[in-house]
Amino acid sequence: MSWADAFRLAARSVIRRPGRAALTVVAVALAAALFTAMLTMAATAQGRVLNQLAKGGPLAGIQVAAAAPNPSQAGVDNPTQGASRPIDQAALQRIARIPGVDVVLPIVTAQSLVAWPGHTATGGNDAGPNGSTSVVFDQLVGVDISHIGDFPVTLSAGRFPAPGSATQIDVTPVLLARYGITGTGTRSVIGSQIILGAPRGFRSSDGTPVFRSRWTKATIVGVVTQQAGSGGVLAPLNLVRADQAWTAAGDPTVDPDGVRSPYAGLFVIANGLGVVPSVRAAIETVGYSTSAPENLIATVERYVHVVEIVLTGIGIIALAIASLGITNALLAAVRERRREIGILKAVGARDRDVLRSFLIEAGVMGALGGIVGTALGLALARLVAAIVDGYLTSQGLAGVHVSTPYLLAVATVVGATVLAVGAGTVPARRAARLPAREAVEL
Amino acid sequence: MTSDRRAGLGVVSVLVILLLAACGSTSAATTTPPQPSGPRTVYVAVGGSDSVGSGTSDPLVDAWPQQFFRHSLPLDTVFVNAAVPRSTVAEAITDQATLARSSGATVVTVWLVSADLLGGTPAATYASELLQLLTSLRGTGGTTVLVGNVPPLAELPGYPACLAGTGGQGRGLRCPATLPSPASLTATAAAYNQAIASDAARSGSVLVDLQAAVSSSSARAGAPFLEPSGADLSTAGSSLVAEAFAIRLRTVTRHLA
Amino acid sequence: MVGTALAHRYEGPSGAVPVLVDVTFTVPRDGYAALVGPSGAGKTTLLSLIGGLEAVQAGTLEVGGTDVASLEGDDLAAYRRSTVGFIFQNFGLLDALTASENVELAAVLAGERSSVRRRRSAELLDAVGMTPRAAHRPGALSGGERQRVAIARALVNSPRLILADEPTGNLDADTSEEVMQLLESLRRDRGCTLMVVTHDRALAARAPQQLVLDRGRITSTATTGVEPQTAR
Repeated sequence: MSWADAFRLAARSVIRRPGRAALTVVAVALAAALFTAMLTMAATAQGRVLNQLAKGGPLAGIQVAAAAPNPSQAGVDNPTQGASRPIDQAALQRIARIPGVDVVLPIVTAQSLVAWPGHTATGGNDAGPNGSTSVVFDQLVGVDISHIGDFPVTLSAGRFPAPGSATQIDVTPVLLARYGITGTGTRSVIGSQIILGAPRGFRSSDGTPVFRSRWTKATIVGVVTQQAGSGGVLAPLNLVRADQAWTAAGDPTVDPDGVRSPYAGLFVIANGLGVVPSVRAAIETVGYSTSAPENLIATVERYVHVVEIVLTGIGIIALAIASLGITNALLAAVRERRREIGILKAVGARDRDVLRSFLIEAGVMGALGGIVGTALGLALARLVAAIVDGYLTSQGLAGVHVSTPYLLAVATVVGATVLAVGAGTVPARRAARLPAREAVEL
Repeated sequence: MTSDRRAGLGVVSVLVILLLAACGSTSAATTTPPQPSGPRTVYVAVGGSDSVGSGTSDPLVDAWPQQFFRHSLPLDTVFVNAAVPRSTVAEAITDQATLARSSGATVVTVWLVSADLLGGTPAATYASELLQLLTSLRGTGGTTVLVGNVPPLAELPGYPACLAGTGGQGRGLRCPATLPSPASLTATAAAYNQAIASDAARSGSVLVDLQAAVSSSSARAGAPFLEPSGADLSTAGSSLVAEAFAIRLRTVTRHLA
Repeated sequence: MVGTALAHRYEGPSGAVPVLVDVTFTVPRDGYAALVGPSGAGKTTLLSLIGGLEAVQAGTLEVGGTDVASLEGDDLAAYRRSTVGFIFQNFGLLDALTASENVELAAVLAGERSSVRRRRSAELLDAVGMTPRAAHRPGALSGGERQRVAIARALVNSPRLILADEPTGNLDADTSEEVMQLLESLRRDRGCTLMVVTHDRALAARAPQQLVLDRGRITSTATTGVEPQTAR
């Protein structure tokens, strides 16, 4: 009997005895669902934790400050910085050439007046210049929005500005708090118009210092928490560069602190977590202070790995228990089907034909249970993630995202099938050894 | 279809539904709409204390050029307030006009009347200097220049304060040692307005008739045009001036907010 | 088919129990023999030995030139598959398979191509009058219909020997007559040896040769040489 015929015979036996097979398949499915759900949720939790550590940016991201490194802080994740040191284009190019660097993303900042007509800034320190109650001083942080996914920025409402936009910005909860807007109220600011004013120092004809601002209108399209730079407004690079250029062109005797560094910082992405230490060391050799959660990430990954081992063990135990169910069910089937097995032999089946048929039956049940269980487990993981995501976002925190672990799904189905075949070995051998005379015995 | 095939089809259907429920798509990446293209409006305000918003409750927000910028110009407009408190036209030629040109202004508002009028600049001199200023701002003709004239004397920023002898209560108002009579100032104001109208026409600029706007009965109803000391525009007065410039701009260009 | 001094015993709780003692018989090629005797005479055991369902413990057994006593394992299975066609008292059909799938089963085990076995199955089901019920499973068939399917299955590999163990044991008189006539006509048409085990003397009398088995021994062998008349 060919493998195909044995498979057809086994499949018919399973399908045409649904009651008997159903319980076995359900047991395997539940075990596979448990296995898949637990590992998927563990991976999701790991991703969320690491994302939180990396503040929304890539794990191998390194922040470079416009400051010299502090020699006493070597190897520390978030070291205190040394003296201020501007980052110019030449420094950016040198850093980009360091081995292990994948991409260097500039961060540009600009001082800005933020005028929000109709809103009152709270607190004495937040009152703006000239006694204005709706204008505050803050900083614009400009990044390449087309690479926003690479920055430690987390969107909590709305969306990111369009790349290259001159009129769209995101604001941070810190800026909103200065206007007394907190909690779920932050979502209500989406669509509001805000006026930004980049200051510039002039000397009038009589020598009097005067500040004039370059004003632009901007629409708030999102609320973010960001660690790219200190500032309450996140904007496209072009918008901030225009403001920075305006301020930098001012009279340095009027505004000596106008623009200290072309780049407020850089965000460097290394090729992988393994090269982050060497890249950081190289950047510090160039002369700039760096920070990255490499030590924390490594520690978290070790702990998560332990959790994964434990969960995998639990899942395997569940599958093993289900396999015992298969063994028991098939042993009972062999007892019940003695005459049928005898008939098979009477019409010419060899011992190995019978063995093959029962092994395939076990494998079919295992595969069916594995597929159903994997799908159930993934659906369960998504359901749990949706509930957790809803809770986190309602608290103003970043949510969770479940990816589809294709490798895990395939491994679970294959594993369930293999375990089932293994579990069916003893019953199949027993069936194969039954004599043909069972066909005629009463 | 045999019962086995139906059973098999049923099993496959359930599996497919389960797998689709389990898989599903990843959360949508943030999408952003394309940005409109086109030349950007650069607006520069040339003026004095009124344009800086000295008499308003929140100058950075309520100064009339700020209101004009927010309510009457496109979203992507860049606005530079070049105004200098108490500036004269002569001072603006060397200072503010230079900034307007270097900023690449495409729309310029000019309202410089109080400092010259109260400072005793003769009408002929004012006319000549204003023409020079407007011509400089107009450049090669691509810049839209709106110029405001002198409102009724009683509503001229600074005049009531100088008349009351209070000097604007520390607002930096330069009152003449001897204030001309109302009749004389009114005549000079009329001469200024003639000059403004003539210079606007000769330079291709757009006249904003604040004399008429402020005088109209509907405009006079409600809040005062000047702040209590009479030295500067009030917040309401700033709104009125901004609206007058906006109305005039809408009649000559397509720059609408 | 020649059996010489066949002996067989089963292990019981109180020791070995002889079931067959010195059984010697000859059934000619294309012959039709009935093995008759009371319950417990050893008929089923002898049939099992001839059919290769059990290994020969003692004596010799030759079927179609094959020394059955020397066969074991896969060789014995091959003998059951290609030389013998078995028909059981309880029909011996697999409940999970349809009538046509049951008939094809023996051919599946023989490794025949699907097209060949489907054709053979269809021909045999037609020959036994079961074409309209080919897609039905045994649970939906009557006793007579099931036995017809069993007959078709026994013939699918064109065996040289058909062994029928109480083929009418679970059938009524009319159905029994139909089944026996079908079996006999097919045996004649296809030219194979038929041995029917029965405790029914009347049924045994249909066969030209009768072997009487009593307490494990052949007590008489009668040969009338008269072929049964079969209504066609």
